[in-house]
Amino acid sequence: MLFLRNLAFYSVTALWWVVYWLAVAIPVLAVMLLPGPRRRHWLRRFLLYFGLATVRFVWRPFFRVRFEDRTDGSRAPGVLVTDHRSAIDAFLVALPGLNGAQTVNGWPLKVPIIGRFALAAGYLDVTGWDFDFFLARAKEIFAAGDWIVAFPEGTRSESRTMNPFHSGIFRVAQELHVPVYMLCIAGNEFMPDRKFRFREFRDLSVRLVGPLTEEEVSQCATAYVLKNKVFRIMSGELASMDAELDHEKNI
Amino acid sequence: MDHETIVKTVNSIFIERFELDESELTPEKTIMGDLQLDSLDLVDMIVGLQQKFGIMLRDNPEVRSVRTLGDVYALFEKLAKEHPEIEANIR
Repeated sequence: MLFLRNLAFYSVTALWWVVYWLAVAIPVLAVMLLPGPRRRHWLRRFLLYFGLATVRFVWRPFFRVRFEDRTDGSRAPGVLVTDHRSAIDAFLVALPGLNGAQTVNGWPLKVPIIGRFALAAGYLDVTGWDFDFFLARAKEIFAAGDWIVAFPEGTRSESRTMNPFHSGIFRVAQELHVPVYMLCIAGNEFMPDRKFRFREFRDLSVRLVGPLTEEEVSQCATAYVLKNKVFRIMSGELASMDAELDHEKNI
Repeated sequence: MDHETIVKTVNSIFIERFELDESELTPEKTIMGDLQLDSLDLVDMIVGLQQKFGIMLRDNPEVRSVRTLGDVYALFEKLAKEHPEIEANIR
């Protein structure tokens, strides 16, 4: 039964990918004629709508996602930090509706079509670029009024315990004086696992919290202090979200 | 410069820049493992040590072999012998 659900999930997803990208092919080609920063901004929008529609509609028969916005409503461009339990996080980060460039761990940018598209949309390679080049691209993203969506754990944790954070993205926030938002994603450990198999299909919880304002970011003595502050806030949120999900599952 | 002064001065960097508790700062602690500094944090650490001791570390090859807090203490004990003037530089 689980095998058939996996098969159905990936078949529907693959079909949706083909339908979406064929449907937007002409607007995408038109956007490719725009100059660099504007082109990347609009390509990110196509990826945002793709992610939103995938989570909200295409995956709805398989699992539902509850999204809560617990911010003060501010939307100044900044860094959106998220925990990273599974591969579908790259889609779930679309839920706040923020037009953002994701930080990517090298290899996904080499995936045919979608990886190349992400690179063209200004997604940031955290393993292949030096810090100064990364900073320059980050500056361009914020100037366009967009966000950087970062996975500071660096790799999927596949568990309820977050991996230690890397400091890079927090240094970017400090250097460029931007706020840090936190997106907590709970329930999706093993959805899917590292071999892209769903071991279960269960409802998920996603919560947007923060932000830490520019002032709060600047007040941290180093990026290390900032990353630990964000880590503590997110750990607390995730623990409560996991407990809520467990409680709902047992009712 | 005595060992105690070096330990206290090095530890002050970790307390001021990384908000670590003094009780966590023991010689056997690995900087990247136990204290969870990454490569960018190491840059902050080196900048802090340079400012505190008033000595350039960037071109010092021995910095690359530092793994534990004890290695940092040992490095500065050696530097203090080679450059006695750093005692006066401590801020």
